[in-house]
Amino acid sequence: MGFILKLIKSRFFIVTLAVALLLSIIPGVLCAMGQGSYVRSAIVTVGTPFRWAFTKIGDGLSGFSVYFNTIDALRAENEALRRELDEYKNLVYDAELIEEENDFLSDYLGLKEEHLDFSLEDASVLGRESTNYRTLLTVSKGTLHGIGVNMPIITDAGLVGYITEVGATWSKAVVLTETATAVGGYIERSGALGVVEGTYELRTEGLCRMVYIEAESDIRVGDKVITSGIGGVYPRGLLVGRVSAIEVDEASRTLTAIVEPAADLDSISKVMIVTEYGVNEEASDGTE
Amino acid sequence: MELNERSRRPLISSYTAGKILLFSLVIFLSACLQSSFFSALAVFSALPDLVLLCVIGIAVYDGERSGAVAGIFGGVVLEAFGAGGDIMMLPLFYMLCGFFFGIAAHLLFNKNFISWLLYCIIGAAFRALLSVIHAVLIENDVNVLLIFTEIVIPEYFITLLLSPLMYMPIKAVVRPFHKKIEME
Repeated sequence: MGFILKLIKSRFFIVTLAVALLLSIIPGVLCAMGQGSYVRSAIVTVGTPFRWAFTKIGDGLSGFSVYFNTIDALRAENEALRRELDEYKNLVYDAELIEEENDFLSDYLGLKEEHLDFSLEDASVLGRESTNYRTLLTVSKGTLHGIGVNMPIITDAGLVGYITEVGATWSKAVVLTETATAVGGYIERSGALGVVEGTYELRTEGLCRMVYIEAESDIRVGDKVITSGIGGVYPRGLLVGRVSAIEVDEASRTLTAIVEPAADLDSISKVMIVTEYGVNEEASDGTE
Repeated sequence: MELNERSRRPLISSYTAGKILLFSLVIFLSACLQSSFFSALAVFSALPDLVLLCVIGIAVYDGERSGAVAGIFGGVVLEAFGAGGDIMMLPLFYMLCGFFFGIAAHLLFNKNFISWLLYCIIGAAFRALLSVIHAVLIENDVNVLLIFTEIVIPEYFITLLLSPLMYMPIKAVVRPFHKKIEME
């Protein structure tokens, strides 16, 4: 009570209270009347350069802090961009596959044009089962596509092998470097006949051999070996490979040529299966 | 003769003039900082009340009269900068803060950081109350929860967070003019 009395009696308090009240009310009243106070505008004018400078500093710091505040947004954006990049990588990969397929189909078309009497079915190599004794390719076509046992498989480069087992949507094929194969062939340049077959020794090097070539035959390293069509499993005129070495078999008085297959048997991914060709003869096991 | 002597004497001493000038400058710069720098920075999307901290500092270290005058000046400057709005009555609010905290500093505690911080906590609470009243008066459809979460609480805490940083500069400015509390 005494404190309040002291306050009321305090001239300073009463005066400052009155001034404060007036200064609180008058600007509002002036504003309501649409008139600005000179004092107010003077204060704002004086304060403008300071406030401008402080605002610039604040903006600078704000821009700096925004970097940290928006780091989550930047992370999200980075993730989105990564996803987009992955999509583009997939697109590029798809494009490469399409290009590869396009090349394959061009070759396929070339083969079709070269061998008008062939009925070809293209297939992808799904797997390669390799044991100590033989290598089997699994391809993506089967009985549903008209594939049967003993059908030759080729690439644009040359002969690959033949089908040994058929499922509904898959087939297994043995390549010509395996011991189970025997292909009737001849030397393109001289016409010397023989049989191309695989051996255990040569298969590891990716080679095969042409045996039963008459000793007097004209045969040289680099000669092309072509399928003769004898036996009916393989059509005539398919490139088997090239002669890489020649050996003389003294006992049988014949020549043996080491043949390097024309088709890259280790890395083929697409093949063509010859489902029909001009001379269709019965064959039992791919050995001619 | 006596009249001549009185007329020759300056209206206010150079000591008082220096004090008024320095305090005014501090409050003016604080108001500028508050309404520009922190407005641009928008820490916690709220503005700290630096003028209140200055007024309390002046009141605690230089007495209730200086606090009251500094409060009026601070309120006028802040209202001029558009910080308060026309019905906030900031000059009256800061004047009362300056005056009563000045008296409280004399009657209750010594002039030290703890007492100053305590007055800042109380002053910021009154300022928050004023913000709520202001919001209730100007808003048609009042969402009290929103006012508290978006305005009052952030404003309160950012003011208190900055109060330790403001203590030393304010004390350094007011120290040359330390004096005993005027009210008898």
